[in-house]
Amino acid sequence: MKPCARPLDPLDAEAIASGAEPVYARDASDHTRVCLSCGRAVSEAAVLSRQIDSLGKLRDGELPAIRDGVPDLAGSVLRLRPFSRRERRDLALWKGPCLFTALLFFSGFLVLTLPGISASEQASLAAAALAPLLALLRAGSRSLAELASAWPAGLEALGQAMRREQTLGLVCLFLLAPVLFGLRRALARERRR
Amino acid sequence: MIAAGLFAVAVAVSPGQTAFARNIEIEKPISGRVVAVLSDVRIASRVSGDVVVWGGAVTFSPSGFVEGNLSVFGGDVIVPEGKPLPVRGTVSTPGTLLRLYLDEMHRAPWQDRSQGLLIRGLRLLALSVWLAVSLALLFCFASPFARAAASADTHWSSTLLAGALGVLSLLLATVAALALLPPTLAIPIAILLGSVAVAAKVFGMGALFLLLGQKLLGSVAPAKRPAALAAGLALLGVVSLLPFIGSVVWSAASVVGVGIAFLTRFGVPRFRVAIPA
Repeated sequence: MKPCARPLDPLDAEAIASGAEPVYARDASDHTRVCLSCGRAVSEAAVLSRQIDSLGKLRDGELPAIRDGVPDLAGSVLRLRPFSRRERRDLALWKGPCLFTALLFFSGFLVLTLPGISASEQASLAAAALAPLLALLRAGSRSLAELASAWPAGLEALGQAMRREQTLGLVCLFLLAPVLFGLRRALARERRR
Repeated sequence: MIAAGLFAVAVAVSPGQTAFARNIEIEKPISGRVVAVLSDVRIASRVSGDVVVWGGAVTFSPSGFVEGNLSVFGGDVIVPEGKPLPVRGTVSTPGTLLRLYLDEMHRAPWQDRSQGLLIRGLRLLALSVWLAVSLALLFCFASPFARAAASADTHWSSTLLAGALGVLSLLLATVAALALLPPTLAIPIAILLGSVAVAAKVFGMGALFLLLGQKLLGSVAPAKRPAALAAGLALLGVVSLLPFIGSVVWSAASVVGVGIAFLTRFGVPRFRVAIPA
């Protein structure tokens, strides 16, 4: 297709597509009848306009329709949009998952208490149930402290052992080049889509 | 005679030991540190320094004793039944909560008969933490999460490939850095690469839970995202509780998660639309 010497302004293309008067060039409507590339710009603007119009018709939550491998614009917008202020503050939306989190936590806690719980050995059943919770909290905090204190020395020791394996290091470096190349290709292919 | 005795002791006590993919048996006293990577260590004598083991088990014989600290990363500590842990310093098994929990409950890990139940309990607690963290991330970064889930939905094979190559790249780079660079450079690089891996896994797993949940509920509505996230985690969590298959599936999901994070650049949009003020 020959490029147009007097390309249509996008606003004029949108105006003609929606049946309105062109804004910049008064003869734009006549021009699109004879110019192939400008006619194409008008039909593309018409498609976009129809897709935006269909935004209001799509029910919230509908799966985006895929036509010829191209996802529907309205569906994609609905799928990717961030939470609205109302959704972010709506307790009904978050209540269920938060309750499920609590349920998971307490079922895990209950499973932990099962092997050790025995009313006869404890002051009370509540005390027996509380012991694993306290132990869990203390173990969690100790685990974090342990992680912070043991990692530097552990990594230093790992480095000491690995430096004796220079051949392994060179092999890894040699293998890293093709693996990184493959990863870059995979990421680039995704970005081209 | 005294000189001969001192000489005998000096000869008998060997300096530290380092091993890679080779098991160590300590049958003579050791004056220095013992480091083992992808190796099991059996301690049948006195070790004056620290013992650091990566990806291996430490087994104590009745005569084994460690004067320094014992650190086991991704492995077990096995002690003769009915005996306390023969370590004078600190014992740490970073990343495993079970030993610390049993310690707090005054129950030695090797004396417990119901470890399977305890492990399941801790797993359920870990799943609740996963869900809480994912929900918090979804609350703060709803659109990147949704974008990452949508991308994985349409490009499963690319996601899996990117995940496998990403995990392999991080692993190879860490090993190469630790083996070839001086410690002052290698350790920060290893920590940086580890942090990238953790961040990618956390973000990617959240997006994967969301995607699985959206498939289960048959809805991609923003209003249903929290419920979808919980449903996805419930599905993957139930599978992860199964013996053997569970850990395989969870590991595969982690690889996919890293792939989702890398492929979508943590859900950052490809093109930004500048809105004039």
